[in-house]
Amino acid sequence: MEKLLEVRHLKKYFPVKKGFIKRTVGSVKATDDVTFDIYKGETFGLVGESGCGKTTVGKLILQLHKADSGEILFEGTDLTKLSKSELQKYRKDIQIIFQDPYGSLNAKMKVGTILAEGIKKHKLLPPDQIQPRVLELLKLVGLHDSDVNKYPHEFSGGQRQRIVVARALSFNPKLIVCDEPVSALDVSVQAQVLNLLEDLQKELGISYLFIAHGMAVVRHISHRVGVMYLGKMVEIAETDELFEHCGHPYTQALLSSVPVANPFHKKNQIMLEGEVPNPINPPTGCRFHPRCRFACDKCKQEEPQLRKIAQGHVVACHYPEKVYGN
Amino acid sequence: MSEQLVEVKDLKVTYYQNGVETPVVRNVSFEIKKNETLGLVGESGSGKSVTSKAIMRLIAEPPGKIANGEILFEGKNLLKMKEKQMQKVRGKDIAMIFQEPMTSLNPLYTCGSQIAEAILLHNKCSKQEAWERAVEILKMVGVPSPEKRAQSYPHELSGGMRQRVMIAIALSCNPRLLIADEPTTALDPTIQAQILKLIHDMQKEKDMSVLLITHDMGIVAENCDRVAVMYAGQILEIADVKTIFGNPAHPYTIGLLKAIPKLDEKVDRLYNIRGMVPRFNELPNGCTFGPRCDFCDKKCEEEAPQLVNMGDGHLVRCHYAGYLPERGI
Repeated sequence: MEKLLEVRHLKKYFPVKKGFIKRTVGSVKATDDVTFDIYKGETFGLVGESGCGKTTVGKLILQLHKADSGEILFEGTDLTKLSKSELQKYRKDIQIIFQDPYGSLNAKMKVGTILAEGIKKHKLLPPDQIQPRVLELLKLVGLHDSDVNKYPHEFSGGQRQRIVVARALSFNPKLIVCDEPVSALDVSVQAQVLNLLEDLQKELGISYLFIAHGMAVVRHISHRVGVMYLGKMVEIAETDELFEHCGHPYTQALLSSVPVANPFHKKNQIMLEGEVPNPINPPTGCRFHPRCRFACDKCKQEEPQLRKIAQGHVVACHYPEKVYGN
Repeated sequence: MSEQLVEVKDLKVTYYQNGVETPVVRNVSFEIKKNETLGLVGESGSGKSVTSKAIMRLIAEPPGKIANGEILFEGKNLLKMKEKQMQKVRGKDIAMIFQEPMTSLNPLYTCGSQIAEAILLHNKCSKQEAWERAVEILKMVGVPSPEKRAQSYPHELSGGMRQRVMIAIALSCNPRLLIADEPTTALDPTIQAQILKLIHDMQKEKDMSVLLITHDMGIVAENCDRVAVMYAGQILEIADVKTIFGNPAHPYTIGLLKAIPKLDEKVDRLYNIRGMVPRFNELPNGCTFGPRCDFCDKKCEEEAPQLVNMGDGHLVRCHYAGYLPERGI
């Protein structure tokens, strides 16, 4: 399969300022040396707890933040090196869907105007073809023609998320960054939106970067999954491999902490002690070691690098064999 | 185990909306036994939180009103109590923890003094004693270095720690019933697991009953003894947890279980419950779930179903409860 996006050694530190003259006293290492690929027509799931940097990765890819170092190759072009005007050309290829469908639609614009805005801005279609395209987009996401003259407040959460999806599609994007697209929705509506995203992928061949903290949702929709912890990618594998044979103690604990909707099934839960440490001052060595059951002296001093343990499966752990295959 | 702690009978709560009295909870009856965890599940707007607030008599009046029903707590009707008497029950016999640990603590007081406040209110003791008890409870709920944390302000703590402080306040007077309204929705999965285990351990230690309100079927499966499924202000199905998951009888419960992605199996396509939860001012005639149900027929559109007893305390609000297999589910 062809690579659409290659992220190489991506770094983003946010300065922490203190005092009257706003001196920089430290930095939040939001994304620290993150590397992964997204193939064409693929869904890459990115999971992790809040504050692990998954949203920052998404925003860096969209160039909403400027990366401190590293490369983001989109079809071979490094987006981080482009000037603002050169970037315009690529903006339409990468779109985003945010978590909160109530906050991401302009309340004063009609649905039709919202969907037409991007097409006009990027001059994707001649003026007389815009209206038919807007109606086509509405149909694509399962809304009615008559909805074109309504305002966002007239819709429910699930319908608004459909409008957000339609807006992203109006650019004919190649990649959509979905940042927790279903977290704010009810279970029955969540299934509708997930099915919609899958149908659109089959029909249009779009790739998704699917950022979420709901493990079950990620398992359902992703082809490959990356797990982040404190700004680091700790494991990448194909979905089934990751959920059945994970190789990182953090992934294992994360998976076991998800409540399973099956009262007949007794699982042995691995309870993690403590909380996610402060990203301003992450632990030395392996960042997970203060919470890890297998931590030893080597983990405290030496930072593990991502290494291959099976076909398409990389883990950043000194002792993946303790988890992998067990 | 068999004795009832709380009995809710035919509860009806209404809210005034644009001058019209709209029922948001109707004909809700259930009981909570001693030491048991009852799960109340449903999507947003199904009336779960309103039901729990009614038990605490925390419905703001106006615009809300408890229009009908009885809530018996150890045999006494809470709805007939004077506000003064109710204040003694609230926090002492029935305690509550909310979803948002950020907004339910007072940012101007230290955590310790907020716990001590609850103790002073319901017990005769000195401030010193109350403070010592507060530290003790913080230790019990697993807050590291409790003496120091008692002097911290809420903003100095993480979300998980704040929720522990909330639990500490709730448990400070040894309640008989703990109402937990989406206690872990705002927390990360690994912290969620810690908090749920804490609630479970405390329940065992303190001999209390828990009313756990959630929309996560996984949390229900792992934490509850019995489950009530709510939809549009009514209970559609109530049974013990194994029956709900192993042998659900209401099309809504069945659909809900099929609509959630599972961690241990991969399906090609998720089941869709079509449409969306109706608004309270435009509830359909007949069965409220009818317009979204795959098995809806003329009877369902015309006649509202009653709760049918399927045996062993398994109640279902559906005309075709038990006959669904013949209709292809």
